[in-house]
Amino acid sequence: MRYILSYICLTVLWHTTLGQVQLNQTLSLPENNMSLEEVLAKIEESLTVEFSFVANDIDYTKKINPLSYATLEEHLKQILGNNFEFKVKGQKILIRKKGESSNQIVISGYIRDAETGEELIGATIMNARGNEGTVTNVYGFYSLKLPTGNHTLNCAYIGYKNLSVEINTSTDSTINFNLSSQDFLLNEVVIEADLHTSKVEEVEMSTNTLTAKKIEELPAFLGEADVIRSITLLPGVTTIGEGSPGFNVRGGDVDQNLVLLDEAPVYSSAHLLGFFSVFNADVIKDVKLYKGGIPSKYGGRISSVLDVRQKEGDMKAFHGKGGIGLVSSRLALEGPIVKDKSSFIIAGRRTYADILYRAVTPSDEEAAVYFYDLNAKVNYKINDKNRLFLSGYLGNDVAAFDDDVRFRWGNGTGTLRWTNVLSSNLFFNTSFIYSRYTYELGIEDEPEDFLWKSQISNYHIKPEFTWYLNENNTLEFGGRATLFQFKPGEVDVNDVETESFIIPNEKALELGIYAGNEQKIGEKMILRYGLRYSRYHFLGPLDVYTYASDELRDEDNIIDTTSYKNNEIISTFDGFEPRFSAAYQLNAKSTIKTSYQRMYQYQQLVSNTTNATPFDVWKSAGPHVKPLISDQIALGYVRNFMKNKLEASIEFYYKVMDNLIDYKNGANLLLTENIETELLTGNGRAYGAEFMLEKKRGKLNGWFSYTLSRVERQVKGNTPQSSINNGKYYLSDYDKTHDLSLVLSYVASKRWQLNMNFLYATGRPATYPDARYEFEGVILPNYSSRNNERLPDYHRLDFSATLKNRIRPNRSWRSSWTFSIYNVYARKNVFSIFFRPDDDRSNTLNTKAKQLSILGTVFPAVTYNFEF
Amino acid sequence: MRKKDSLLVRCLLIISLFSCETEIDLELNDNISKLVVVGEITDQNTPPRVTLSQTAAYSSNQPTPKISGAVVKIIDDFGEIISLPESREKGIYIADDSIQGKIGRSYILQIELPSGKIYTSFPEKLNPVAPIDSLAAEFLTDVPEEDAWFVTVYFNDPPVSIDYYRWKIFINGTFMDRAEDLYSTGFESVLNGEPIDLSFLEFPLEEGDQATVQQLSLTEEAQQFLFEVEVQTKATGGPFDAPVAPIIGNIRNKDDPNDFALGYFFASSVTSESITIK
Repeated sequence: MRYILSYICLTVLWHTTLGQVQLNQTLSLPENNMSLEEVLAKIEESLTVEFSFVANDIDYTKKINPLSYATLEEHLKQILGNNFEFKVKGQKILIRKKGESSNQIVISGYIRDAETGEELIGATIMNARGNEGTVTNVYGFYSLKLPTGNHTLNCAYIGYKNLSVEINTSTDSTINFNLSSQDFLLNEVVIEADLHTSKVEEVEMSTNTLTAKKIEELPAFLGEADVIRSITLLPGVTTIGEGSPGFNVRGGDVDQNLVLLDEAPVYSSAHLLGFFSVFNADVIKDVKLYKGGIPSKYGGRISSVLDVRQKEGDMKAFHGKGGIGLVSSRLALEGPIVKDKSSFIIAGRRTYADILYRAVTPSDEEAAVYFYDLNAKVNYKINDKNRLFLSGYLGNDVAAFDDDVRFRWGNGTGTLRWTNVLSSNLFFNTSFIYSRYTYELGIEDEPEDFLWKSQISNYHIKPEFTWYLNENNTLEFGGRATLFQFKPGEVDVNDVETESFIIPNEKALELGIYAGNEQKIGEKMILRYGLRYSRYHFLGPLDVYTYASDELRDEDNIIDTTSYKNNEIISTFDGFEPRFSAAYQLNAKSTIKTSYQRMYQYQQLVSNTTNATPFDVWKSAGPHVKPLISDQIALGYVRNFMKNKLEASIEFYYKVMDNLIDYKNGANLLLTENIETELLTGNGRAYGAEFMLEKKRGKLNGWFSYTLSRVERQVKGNTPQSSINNGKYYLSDYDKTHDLSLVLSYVASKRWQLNMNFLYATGRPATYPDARYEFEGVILPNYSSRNNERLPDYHRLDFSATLKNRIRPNRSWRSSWTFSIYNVYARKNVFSIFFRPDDDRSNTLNTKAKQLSILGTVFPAVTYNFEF
Repeated sequence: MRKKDSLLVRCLLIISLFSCETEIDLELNDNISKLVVVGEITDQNTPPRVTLSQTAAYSSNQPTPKISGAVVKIIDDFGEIISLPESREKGIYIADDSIQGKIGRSYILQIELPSGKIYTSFPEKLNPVAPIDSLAAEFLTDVPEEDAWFVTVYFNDPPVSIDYYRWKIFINGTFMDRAEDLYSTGFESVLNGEPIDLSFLEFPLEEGDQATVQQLSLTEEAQQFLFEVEVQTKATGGPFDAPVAPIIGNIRNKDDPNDFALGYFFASSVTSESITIK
């Protein structure tokens, strides 16, 4: 052990020394008359150092006589004379005038797409000579402290050309930058830059960003670009199987992800039961996934945050984008309402799964199965400092069979946001958000004719501030108040003799306040620390039952009923949620990071089926259900290779989850009153290592990710009914020991681009019988321990090729064909294995094991995409 | 409310657009041993009867071994003890012909195994059952299955209590014992106290056959047990299946509450009606 420790110490030291300029190293310089500029260039050439000038009045043309052979320190003293001093910062040497603390000014503004005026999130701005630099926030805003004088500022953003601007500042000022996008196909030479910030320079860990462009490139099932399927290719993200809605992050359930569309929570991210996702890639700007080190401004879910931002709409010109595919057709339009002042984007998507369904079902049943999405956003620049955004989403799935059964479910969201630059270093933003999820089931059949409606809706107010305190500290603080309304079920029975009934509605108020600071300490260390305080009130009107024992809640065990009036507080929960991240840059190429987070979640999805169904209800924390709490620590290491073209990262995490709900054996959750009678409480733990190697730029780009992990749960009660697996830890449904993805794109020519995905994962846990027994002639399997075995391994290869049609001169119409093949070698990946008695009446003793493959064959697809 | 299930069945249809099912050979680690008890006391003149057996390997495709030599008793809440001696058939314990259960009483089953271990059931109440009004049988042609004989039972669910039912179907006196022929339900909320018609599907009936439907009362726990059996035998491994789990009945080891026997001890009131297929 000691050896290992000293080895680690040595490695760290070695990295440290590599990253720091050594002043005592010696070098020879020619003694003949040279200008200061030439001498410094000579030093830069012979040693791996770089000079930065904070002083502007240095005379580069001054002739000097350097020493012939000396240490670097002696050389610099000789060259610079008495008026200047120097300081080592990593591999840079800063030169400034002695005794003069330069005046600091603040420049701030937006970095935008030059063509569309769209704000760029996470674009970098760096002082080329100094060490100052920052990144735009989620609204494209930056604030940068600089010494007065002349500077060259470099702006960079992935997929855009770098921009260098000379500025001369003496007072605080607003400077906006416009970057032009870099079209790989128009430029033969792909511009490579070292300027892009990489994970090495950020404190953030356990996060991944995907651009809409990348998501559109990935081969997808039936050619339908899919945000959720795309993120499951990232390390630490799994899914139960094909057609499963949602995603699981580091051992969390699907309901533990905060999925935000323009800040509005989206309750169900799946269409058609999980085959497609609700996000239309045409209107999405980018998608960021936080798996750990979650900033204190986010709260309400314990596993992850998936922050999806919609495009704002082109401020300068009118555009359209769309496509016709096997499953759906879509169209998005954007453009200015008033040029450079306000813009809009609107998009629609409609599937025609009906046709598919009718083709496959044998009976001549009338069926309508489809979904649609509508996205819209307008934004209005009141002036340079104030801006308004209004965005909305509406999506529904509809399924109707013959004329007697129909379902409908969907999300709706609306966000009104006001951003305000209060001063050059104080940014303010308030959002008013509405979100709802509804489902309806209807049956027209005597005498059980009924219509079931369920809804969860919520209203948020969210003021947030970003305060750029100084060059080393960025403070974020704000809060959120949310009113939740749960309508678990309202039944209209179309029958005079039967009364309609309503499962009591529930109401809750969630409040959260937070403050967090990102602090640079020296050149190598960045800390981000914050605290969130959340408080939750479960409100009346409601009748709350008291059960004789929490162990066995049962309708027969109700010993008391308490009635609460409207808005009367039934239960209150609160908690502090500390968040902490730290990054220490070992050298220009590598960084170690660590983070800790505590998160609270006050609502859980009640679902005990393998896949969550659209009809599952959300259960609020209250008298019978406690809030979920999770703690996670993570440790990571990032290293860049090949001039930042390759980025490798490894992370280790350990997470515990408390108060997870589980279900009694044989629980019936659908359309159930007093749902707490079907619930059990447990806890979980997840740990693992994630590895990722990513190449973001170049003709060949993509990533390789590998996760080694374990997810376990425990439900320990006092009786066999209130325990699972006798109270021992058991593997969770989505535990996949090994999970590997390879995602590659290759720009083959001006017109062709090729893409592939390869996935491999250990089969998920499954329950096999450990005995048979007879019940009145029926052979039954006995399942003593849940998830005692595993399904066969999962692997799949997908491929797609995009052919861009020739662009006609003087026409803005651009189009392309995408050919995709899902599951190229037609592997019958196993979704589940199940056991049944033989159907044959004469052979009741025989039993069978069967496997179900959901997408057990190859699925080719072709999509036509266009832009104008 | 059987209709509830059909909603998810429809959803499954969407999944089945793409999916496929294959029979496979699987090595199972399936040799645990557990006691299995299936017992019943009714208010009819069929005497109380208990079958004791043991679990066997799931993949064996053999009948399970019966347990002989146990001492089996039923005790009611008045302290009356009914003893069930082992019959000529191994592992089957039957009380005296004259004995029958009484509506309103609760019964406990007690088993002493030859090994000395004692298992007892929780008290099981014998609830009354609503009479069957009538039976109907019809042959439906627009159903995909063959032998599409529907037997429909008509009765009135009593309004005051929440009642749980089971139906057993006999064709020419033979009990239909496939997993698919298990029918049980409870009428809660919406349908409590309503006139009910319930159809049983797909029986190999021919003209002249006699179909008999027994309508039995159950306790809520007994219905839950049958529901779980039904769910488990109908499992299709689909995305909307609940996780499979041990079905815990009402019989425990007296000295170790975590050691439960498989199976169930039922107490039922029974009415029956027959119909001849024409």
